[in-house]
This record gives sequence, C-alpha cells and structure tokens, in this order.
Amino acid sequence: MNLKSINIANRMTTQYLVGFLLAFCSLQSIAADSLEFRKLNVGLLEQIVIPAYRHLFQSAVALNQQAIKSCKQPSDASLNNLRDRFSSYVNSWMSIEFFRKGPAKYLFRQNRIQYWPDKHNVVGRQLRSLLTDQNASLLDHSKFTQLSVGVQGVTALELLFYGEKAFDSFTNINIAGQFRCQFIQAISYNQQVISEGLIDDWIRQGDGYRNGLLDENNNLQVEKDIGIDILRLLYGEVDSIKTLKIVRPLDKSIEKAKPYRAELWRSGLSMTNIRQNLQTIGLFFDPVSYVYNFYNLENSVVNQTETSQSIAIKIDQLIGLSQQQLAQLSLPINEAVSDEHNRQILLSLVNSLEQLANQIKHYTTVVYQSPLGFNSFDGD
Amino acid sequence: MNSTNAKKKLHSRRQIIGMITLAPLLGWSLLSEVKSTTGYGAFRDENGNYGIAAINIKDGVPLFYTATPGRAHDLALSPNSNHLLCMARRPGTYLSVIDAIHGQVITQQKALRGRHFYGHSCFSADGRYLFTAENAYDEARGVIGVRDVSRNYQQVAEWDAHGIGPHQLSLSADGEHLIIAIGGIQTHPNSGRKKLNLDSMQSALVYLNAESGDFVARYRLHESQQSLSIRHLAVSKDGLVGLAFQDQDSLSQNKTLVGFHQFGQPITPQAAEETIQYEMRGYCSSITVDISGRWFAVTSPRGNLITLWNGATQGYINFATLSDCSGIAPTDLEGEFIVTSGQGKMIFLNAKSGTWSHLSRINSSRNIAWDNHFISRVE
Repeated sequence: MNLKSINIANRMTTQYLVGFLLAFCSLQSIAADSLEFRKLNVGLLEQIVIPAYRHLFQSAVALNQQAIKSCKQPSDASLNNLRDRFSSYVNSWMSIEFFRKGPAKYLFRQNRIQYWPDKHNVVGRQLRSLLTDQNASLLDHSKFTQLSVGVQGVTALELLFYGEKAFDSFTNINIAGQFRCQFIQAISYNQQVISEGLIDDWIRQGDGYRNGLLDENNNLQVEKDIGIDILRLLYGEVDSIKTLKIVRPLDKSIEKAKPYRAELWRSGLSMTNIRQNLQTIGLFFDPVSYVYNFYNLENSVVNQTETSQSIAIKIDQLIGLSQQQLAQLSLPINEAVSDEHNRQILLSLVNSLEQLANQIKHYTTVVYQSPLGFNSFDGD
Repeated sequence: MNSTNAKKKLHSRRQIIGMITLAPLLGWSLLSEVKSTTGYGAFRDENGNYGIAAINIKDGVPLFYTATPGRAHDLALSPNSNHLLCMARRPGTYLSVIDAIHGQVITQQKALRGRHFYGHSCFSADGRYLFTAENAYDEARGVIGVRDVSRNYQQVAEWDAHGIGPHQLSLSADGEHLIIAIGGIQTHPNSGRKKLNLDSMQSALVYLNAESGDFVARYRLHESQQSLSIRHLAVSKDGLVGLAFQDQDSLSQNKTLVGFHQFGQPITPQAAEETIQYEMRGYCSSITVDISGRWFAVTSPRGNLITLWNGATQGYINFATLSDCSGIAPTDLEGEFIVTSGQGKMIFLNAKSGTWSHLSRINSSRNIAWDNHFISRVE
C-alpha cells in the first residue's frame, strides 16, 4: 500500500471501511471464479457467436453464387432459387443479429447487412432512383460500398426479389432488366465481402476480436464484463423483437395496425426471423445444450436462493412459451396485426417477451451482482 | 495495473475494438497528454452501496469515496469554495455538501415537505446561493429551491419553474439567467418513477432571472417533437446552450436527440447521420461542453454511444462507443472529454484532434458502476 492509499484509507468513515472490507471479501470470491467466467466466455464465443458468423459467411457465399447463376439465366425458377438463398442468408443473419457490438458495428456493417426499420422508405426511394439512373459505374464494389447503407443489404434485396412485378422485372432481358440483375449481384457480393470481413475480424490470429476479448491480460475488461456485455446484447435483442418487430406493427389498436411495419413482410419472413432470434437467445441459457452457457455457470456467491441454473431454466421456459405463442398464429405477422384473434396472441407474446427481458436482467443482477445497464435502463 | 501499462496495450489497434470501442478504426488515434483535472461522480458498488468518488484524472488514483444516504445523481462544485454538492436522484430528498478536497460530509439537508429533488443543482455566480430543481408533487408543479450557502444551505426562497419536471439547470454564460431544462414529465412519489402524463407532456427550456426568479422566456420544441423531453443541458462560455433529449415515444425512431439554443432564438434540433441517430436509441443521458466552449459531447448509453458536436457549426462530428457510457465531463485540454460507464470504465476522447485514450480501470477492488453524471474541476 503506498502513501496515497494510506491517506485515502485514513479518510474513510468507519461505515465505508466496513463497505471496503466487504468489497475485498467478495473480490476474493470473484478472483476464485475468474476461471469459471473465462470458461463461460470461451464457450459462448467459440460455440455460439463465432460459428454463427461462419455460417453467415457461408450463406452469403451461397447467395452470391446463386445470384451469378440466376442472372446468367433469368427465369421464374432461377428467381425462386435466389429467393431460397435469400431466406437462408436472412436466417443466418437473424442468428447473430443480436451481437450489435464490435466488428458488426465497424464500417456500419450491421446497417449495411440490414437497414431496418426503414421509417421513411429510404431504401425504396433510393433503390428506385438507382435503378432508373442505371449508372453501371456505381456497381463496382469500391463505389458500391459508398452508396447509402440502405441499398447495400437485405432490405433492398427483398424489394428486388419480392417487390411488385418481381418476376417480370427479373426475367426481363432488356437493359433495365440486366442492370437490375447486376444490382442484385452487387448487393450479394457486397454481403459476401461484409460477412467475410466480420468473420476475419473475429478470428484473425493475433489481433482478432476474439483474442482481444479473451486475452487474459485485457486491461479494459475483466472476465465478468464480457458476460455482462453479452447479457445486455441479449436483453437488447428481446427488447428489439418486442418493440420493433411486434409492437410497432401492432400499434395501439386494430384500427391503427401497421402491417407494413413488420420486418421483411414482403418475403413472409417476419415470423421466422423472430423464431430464429429466440432460438439463438435460447442457446445461451439452454440447460441441455452442448454449449457451456449461462446455465452452466457456477455461482460465485453462496447462500442464494436463486442460482444461475434456476434463472436460466426460467429464461429457457419463457423462450419456449414465446415459441409456442408464435406457433399459435394462424396468419403471417403483417396480417395477424389486423386480426382480432391473432392480435391477442401477439399481445400475449409481448407479455412473455417482457418477462423474458426481465429475467435476463434478473440473471445479471443475481449471478453477476451487477446491474444489466446501470445507465442504459435505469438512468434519468 | 497502472495507466502506463494500459497505454501500452492500446498500441494493438485491432485489439481495442475487442475491448471497448470501434472508434479507433474509424480514424481516432492515440492520445498521450497528461491530465490535471479532478473528476467527481456518483457510483454504486457491487454490494449495492451508493456514494460519490473523486479521482485524479491524470493517473486514475481515487482521492476519496464518500457514502451517500441513497442513490445520487448529479454533482455541482461551488465557484468559490471547496463545497461539492451531491443531489439525490429523483425522487430522493437529500442533498449532501461534501468537502471537495477531502471528502468529508460538511452538511446534509432535506427537501421541504411535499417536495423532492430531481437530482440537479447549480450555484449562483457568486456562490452565495444554491438552486435546486424540485417537484412540488401534490401540486404537479416544478419549482426551484433557493438555498443560502452561508446559512448552512437552508432554503430561503422557492421560485416557480414554469413547467412540470425541471431537470438539469445551469447559469447562463453571463450569470444573468437561470436556464432550466423542463422535462415535462409528471411523477409522484406514491407512484415511484412512473410517468403520469406522457400524453400531455410539455417539455421546454425556461429562462429565469437568476437574481429575482422572475420569468424571462420559455422555448419549446416543434409540435412534431412533442415526445421529446428536454432533460440535460450544457452552457458554453459564449452562451450557446447544448441540449440533450430523451424520447418518450418508444415506437418513434430517428428523432433528433441533440439541440442547441441561443437566447432569443428558437431551439434548433440537430441531426447526426441517420444510422448514428438510430443508435442513440431515443435516449441521451448527459451532455457537456469542453473547456474552450466549442466542442460538445453527448452520451447515449442505450446505444453505447458518445457523439461529438461542433458548437460553432452546431453540427455532428463523430462518435465513439463505450458500453453503458453516461457520465461525461471536460478536461483541461481543448476538445477533450472524460467519459465514465456503468461498467466502471473511463475513457478520454478529443473532439478537436480526433484522439482517444483510456484511463486504467480505476478502483478495480471496488468494482463500481459510475452513475448518470460526472463532473470535473480543472486545476
């Protein structure tokens, strides 16, 4: 202890000295558990997050290859093939959408994969303008990446694949049709480059993001911080499903319902997207998962009535309940919001998602002994 | 760990994004200037204790920790004494006066009956009076408590705040006006922190005469921005008022969340890039202005985002990220800010030079979460 810290100790009130000693005691317990937290971090990153990014890249490659193939022989069948690849790519994005941090934020990659919600129909307007102008020089990848983020990703692709007269436009072999297909290829290639960059940033030897996070000499984060960050991301994803993907199209009444606010409604993917989002969140808490996840984490604190296991089970059950409620919908979400029976199911789902978010928050408080978002969720 | 070690780690540029921020990859470079500023902020430790901490920003060494009776919100420094004012967070009722050098509690006062604090206060230009933002909750009315420093901070007057939910308040650059961010949101202690009037809320910026409390002016946002609550403000040397908003409409997006105001002119909301705007997630928690008065910085913890603004052009410049960031204060360098987070982190950003750095994880033994606001005293 240096002179300065002795002075600080002398200044402490008795009450605070007690507090300090308590903090010191719990520090010992945290130190003993740091290996446990590290094991968890490795499990979550290497068994859920990184494989999801790998899968995203593979889906992007498949999409890009199909775009090249379909554009060589434009037909209804080749567009359908392209639509299938598009659905797979969106699905793989939904598996990792929640990780709104790190490489996904770099170069606006997240927005360049999916610009949504698009409140002012920016994508539609800009896409229309670009297709009308037919400026082929913009399709060069280096120039394409300088275009508005909205036209670079799946929101634009969905318009091209499922928009009005999509089949006619796709099979049209005039100049406008050819440019349209070149534009599809430019987006698909762009997605491949983005997802390749993502996985490279994550797993690169030496200075990759994974290594930075798991570095034992990380001066900026202790082991617990990584888990708290991931829990915040998962909480954010649940909130996003609830608020943006369900409540926003539901609006305040059936008369005010906004079907077009449903995510990727043209392609009918709104519901499968939510399913995939929830499935991913489930991997982090699943009691029988092959992944070393939040369920497995040994508690660092004794004498607790609740454990990481008991809360993870509740979370897992709420995810199961949410999936069941989704399965009860007899209409796609963009239609369900205007149907009284289906609206009730969606409202029940909103309630389940609220409970789910609260349980994730609770997990953080109990197991990590830290507020989930001290300032994010409880500021003033 | 010391800050020297921490800076060495920063040379691995890619590794930084693995830790706190992607900003380095967007053009920030390393910062190595020496700081000579003391910073103060409220915190919660891992045992659930609340307090305030003072640190030497130069080296991250804690100067003192002082317990508070409950969760604190903002702090204020007297212009002519060593008094550090710590205000209870809404709907708390205590204010603590603390020795800014040694950390002892000098005195504590409570809000009057039927009142609670909103977490913010400021001193008069001569340091004789303390102004506190308060809720006269049974009357659903915002008021400003005026307390006499020389009389142990006893309340000597109460002014009408001319709006519901006065939040942050500050003196104008010339000391003539008391500028109050009227959040517009009605709450009552019987309902905890529940918002009772979101359908009819009326946020505003109110100017009072700082000597008499007389009403001077009131400015409101455009009708299309009625869901925005003007919550925090920062006043530059030149009199420009930076404003940070919180959107009460959970379904609206991309509303402008930062604005500027010059006395006598309308409020001018300013947009960042659309993607940044979205990432602010409808919520700004703190705003401050640098020592030169030219550069403003705003924290948006829901998006883990710090945005930097040029007061001269009132335009958005750049951003950085830090998980659960919120407290922000100027240092003694032009354009530079220190940012604190709910995960106990502190980083420096410089809006002028585009540099950044971090302070070593101070006080790791306490594992504290920095609360909403952070202030600094430049020495």
